[in-house]
Amino acid sequence: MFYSYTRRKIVVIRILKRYGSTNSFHNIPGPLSLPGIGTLYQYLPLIGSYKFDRLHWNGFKKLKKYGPVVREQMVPGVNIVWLFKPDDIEVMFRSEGKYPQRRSHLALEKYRLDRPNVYNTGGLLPTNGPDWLRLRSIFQKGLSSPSAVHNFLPESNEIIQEWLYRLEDICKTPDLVYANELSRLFLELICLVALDLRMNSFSKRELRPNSRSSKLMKAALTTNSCILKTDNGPQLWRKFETPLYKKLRKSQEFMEEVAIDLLSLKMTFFNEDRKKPGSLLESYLSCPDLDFKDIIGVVCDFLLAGVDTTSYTTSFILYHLAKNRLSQSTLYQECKRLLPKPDSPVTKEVLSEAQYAKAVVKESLRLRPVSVGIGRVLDKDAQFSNFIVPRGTVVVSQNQVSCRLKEYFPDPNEFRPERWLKTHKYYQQPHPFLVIPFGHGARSCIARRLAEQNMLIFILKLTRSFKFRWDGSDIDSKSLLINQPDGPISLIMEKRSEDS
Amino acid sequence: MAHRTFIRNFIFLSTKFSRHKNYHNHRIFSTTVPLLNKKQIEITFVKANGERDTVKGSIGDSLLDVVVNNNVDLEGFGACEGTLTCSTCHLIFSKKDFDQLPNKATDEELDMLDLAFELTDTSRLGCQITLTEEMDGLEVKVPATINDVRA
Repeated sequence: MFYSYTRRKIVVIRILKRYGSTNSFHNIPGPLSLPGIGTLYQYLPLIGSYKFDRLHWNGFKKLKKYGPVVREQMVPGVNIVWLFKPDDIEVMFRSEGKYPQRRSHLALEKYRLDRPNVYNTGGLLPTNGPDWLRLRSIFQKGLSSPSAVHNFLPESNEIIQEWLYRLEDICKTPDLVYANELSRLFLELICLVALDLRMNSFSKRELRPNSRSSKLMKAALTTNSCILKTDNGPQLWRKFETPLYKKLRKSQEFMEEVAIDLLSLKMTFFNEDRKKPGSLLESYLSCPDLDFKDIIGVVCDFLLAGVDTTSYTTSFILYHLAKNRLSQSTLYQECKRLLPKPDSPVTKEVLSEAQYAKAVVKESLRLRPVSVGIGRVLDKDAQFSNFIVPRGTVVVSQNQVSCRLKEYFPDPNEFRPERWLKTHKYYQQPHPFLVIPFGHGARSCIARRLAEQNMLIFILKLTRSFKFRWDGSDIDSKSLLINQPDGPISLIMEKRSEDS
Repeated sequence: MAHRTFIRNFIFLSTKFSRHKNYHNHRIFSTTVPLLNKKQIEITFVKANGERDTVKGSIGDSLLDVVVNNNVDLEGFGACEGTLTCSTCHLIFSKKDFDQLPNKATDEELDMLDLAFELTDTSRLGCQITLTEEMDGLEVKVPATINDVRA
């Protein structure tokens, strides 16, 4: 391997001398791709040097071995270019064109397109081109802007407060599975937005393992865990039903059934002639450009993308705060200043002043982003460092790896929210394209502000009422599409007395 | 259950026949609440090549609305339609105008501005600036790069 690398380097140098400063696509270094199996052999246990579920370790190894631009053919003939330099990541976003394209959720797209009686499109995640813009443009209204998500504040506060009351009762339960409790909370919050109703996920009935909410959380998790493997494998599911595809189909069928049931229920009570649409769902229902099938699709998208993402991110935030007592107490001081009573609601004024809480969320996302990076299909030829990459190539940024490099952040592995406070001595303006956990531009996360708002309300209210510490081994992230904690969330919660 | 199935079928059928889809021309016309007061003022957009475009906008609209409603030829401007997820409606104000803008940038806007091309001390995002009467005759500079990157 070393031999081939040096040889490649010599070739690169030769070509550089011949053609000046730019270099062609095929000279981009990367893991050796074998005919028929690509680089997939590198991901096999024991023989391979990479692991399917540790994308950030893989990325770090590739950076060390091949440099900041890496080309890989996981499946023969399909190139992926990994980017590590923030300047190159910026170029990627500047080259995305009017319809930023992604190549992911392909099996989900097939599932939906095979069922034209239920769905009109593959949904927001896999769809590209003008069709994507049409969906995005309609669905983001009333959802994406910071002022639009303020409408959800009162009810989100209520749900989170309810969850905290329940926490008071159960926090002393030994081996409480926080991962499940957090998923439940964010399921409740996303159903409020997507379906305009309360699932009552914290009720006794719903807490049972066979309840609708439990099965819904499981279905979302199962689907998500099939995506990466169906996207990056040899895609045999296109020809016949593989076990993986079957898993995806079964879980999607359940989600869709729930979505249709709840939406039908909603529609029987919905009066289209009402002058002003109230909730987000009502505005979708009364939109002339959407029909029932479009809305089923978006509700499923909400459930797929809105539960695990936020609950994992919140788990990591809690982990960092529990391990860093000083940060937690600074946050508590802010909470006490902004929320006079433990059950005071988080208003938009509170949010605009919650500087430290925002820094906590940002710093946690720097260390543990939702995904290892952002992927795009290039809309035109682009130059990354010295390499020209042709349009149509899949390019994936490696922000999670770069965000932990010394050259970009001092003490990169330390959790230090102060580095984001503009008045603090630790503040150093980093390259803006390093910490972009929600992506950037027209195709960035459609519910970014909602997720941020919910996480902020949650940590503000939780820290106001509870003191917590970590009682387990350190956790890292593993990825089944999105990053999740690789161990249990071992928190010890203690209710703060009224005047502490 | 039969009741649910009935409703489901009914909805499918009714949506099938009552569809009036309009896939094209999907630009929004206002990202802000329209005011009753429809008084209009003049705004001039100065492109990087020196070209000037003077158009009318209603009080209460955002600068992004003004660009969209008047079809001002700025390729790629306002890609995220005012949802604060991109920085393509980046505009540069004169120091004097900048200081007189009624609202200061929020944290969210500042974060987006960091990702903009050719950021200056007097940069703002057009979607966050709401027209007031005092802005009549305002001149704003459109950075060159919007046209370059989103062609």
